[in-house]
Amino acid sequence: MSKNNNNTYRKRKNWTKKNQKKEEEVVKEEKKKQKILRRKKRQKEREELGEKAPPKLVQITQEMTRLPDLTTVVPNDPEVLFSEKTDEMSEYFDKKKKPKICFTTTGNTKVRSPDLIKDLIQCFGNSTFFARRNYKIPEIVEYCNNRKYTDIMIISECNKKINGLIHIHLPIGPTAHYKLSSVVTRSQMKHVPKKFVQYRPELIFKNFSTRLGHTVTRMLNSLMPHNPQYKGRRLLVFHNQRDFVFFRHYRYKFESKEKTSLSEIGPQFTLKLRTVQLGTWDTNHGEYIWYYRSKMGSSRLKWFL
Amino acid sequence: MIFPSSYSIRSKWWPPTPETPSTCLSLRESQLLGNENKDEDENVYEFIIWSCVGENFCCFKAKTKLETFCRNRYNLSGICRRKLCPLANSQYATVLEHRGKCLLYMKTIERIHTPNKMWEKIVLPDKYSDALKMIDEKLQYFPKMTINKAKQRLTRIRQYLMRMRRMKLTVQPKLVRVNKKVERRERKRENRALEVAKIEKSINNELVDRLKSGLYDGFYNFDQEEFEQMLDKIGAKYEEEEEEKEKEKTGGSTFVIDEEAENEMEAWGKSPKIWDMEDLVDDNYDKKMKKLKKRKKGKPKFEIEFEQEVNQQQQREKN
Repeated sequence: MSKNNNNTYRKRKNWTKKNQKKEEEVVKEEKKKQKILRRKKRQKEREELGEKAPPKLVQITQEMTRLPDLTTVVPNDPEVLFSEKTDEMSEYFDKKKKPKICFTTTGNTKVRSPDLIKDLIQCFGNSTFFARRNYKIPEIVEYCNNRKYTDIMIISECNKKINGLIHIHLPIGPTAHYKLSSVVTRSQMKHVPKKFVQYRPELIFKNFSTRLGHTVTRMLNSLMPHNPQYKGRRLLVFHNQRDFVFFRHYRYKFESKEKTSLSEIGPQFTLKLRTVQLGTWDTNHGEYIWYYRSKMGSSRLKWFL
Repeated sequence: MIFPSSYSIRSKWWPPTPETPSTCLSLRESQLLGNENKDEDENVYEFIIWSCVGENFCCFKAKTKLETFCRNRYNLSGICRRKLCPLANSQYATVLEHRGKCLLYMKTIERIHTPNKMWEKIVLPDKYSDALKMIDEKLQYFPKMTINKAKQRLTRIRQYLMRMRRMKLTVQPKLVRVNKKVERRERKRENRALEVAKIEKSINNELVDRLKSGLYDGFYNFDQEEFEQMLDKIGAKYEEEEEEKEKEKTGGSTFVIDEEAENEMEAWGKSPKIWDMEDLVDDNYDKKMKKLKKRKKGKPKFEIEFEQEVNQQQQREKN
């Protein structure tokens, strides 16, 4: 008896759910229709009035209502220019040092990181992968300094998912710790060529407005080779939106003077800054310039990059 | 309470008559003699306590399916047993650690009535062998079990202290909690940010700006007419030069390319080839073609097979 009762209860529940969905859809359609009607009204009014018409309605986005930051970079700020000259990355920008990158992983993980690392080695040139054999990070820093590397990238993994990225700029330079998410490697992407000629790529950094963002861009810039080759038409993009940095790797083609077409090659991931330290990686005695506290994320409109 | 049959208070304990020899020794005396007569010389105090605590309720007792444990701080090994119970033994010793130093705690009958001053603390020396000797010295008249257990406890404590010191020198990985709420929030925000970002649009705008600013000046030609005009100009130049040269020399017309024209040709002439992805991908296309041509000029394939057959024939003849 109870079984029958249960079945009828479940059927009733599903029936109500279906009906709810239908109702929701009907409501949505009505809303759309009304919106269209309103727009048409406005267009009519604008035509009638001509020049005297009220200005167009603008959608209020989060970017417009962002909480203002004291550290936004104004172009040609003498302070910023001075710090650029005396930066740890200034040697790269003066073209005295060529980038030489060392890739490792945390632990001896073998599940997902080798794929990403292969792709990244193809992306940035002049880099090598070393397996991490229970060496501590300060030891690794020492060895890389001896062999004159300029950067170390350590990719961390947890539960078969790529988790984070530590970028240490040598010899003394700042370290940045990112959280990696939504990683798509080249093997997972379709319609991607197996090999591509490694012309030196161009870079695009978008929407980095604060001083923190400025330092991050300089650090990421120091990974790439100098003097991009424009004939290669290769692009690396770091696009910042609401504190999420989206990394993309494209081949572009100008179809006309105002239109380009992009085809994606290379991996795809998003970075979220966790910490920035002044020296090399040191959790005990390191000097942190900035680190993320969970309370910071409580207001949606406060962004740090 | 059940007293053992050998006891009867009136006969043995009170009052001790000079006629009857006191077969019941005090615990101290029995200890000095070396615990020869165990069963008869049990201390009442201990007996009472153990009958209360061991068999009934004890606040330090922790029972599991297989073992009963003792949570008392002064217990030598953490097991609840008659000889290891710090409450039910008036003569007891342990080794405890405080701030990296090992201390020997001793309890004797003389101080049972003053619980504040019951435990005597002795600092053991830092050297292992000296500490063992000290234990032997101080616990001379204690039962052998306590001495052995104390020494074992000492070694264990020293081992974990060594390990602590070693670990402090290295950097240990920090385990960070995964806050589900925070993760969920960040994922949602990331998806929303992706939608809002419109990456391809912004890249398009950026590239167009760069074109206008003049970064790619030598690489692209958008107006086909201009390109053809340039080509016509270059062609006209060549014709002029040829005519001049012909006038100069009587025979043997040579084809001369002006240096400027050559550069222009490179700039304008190469670009239309690199429009397709396939060309860039197969950048070794030219090399491949060269290799094929070389093969045709050189030895044909079937010769190699012929040589192999000859070798086989020779081998057969030998065999």
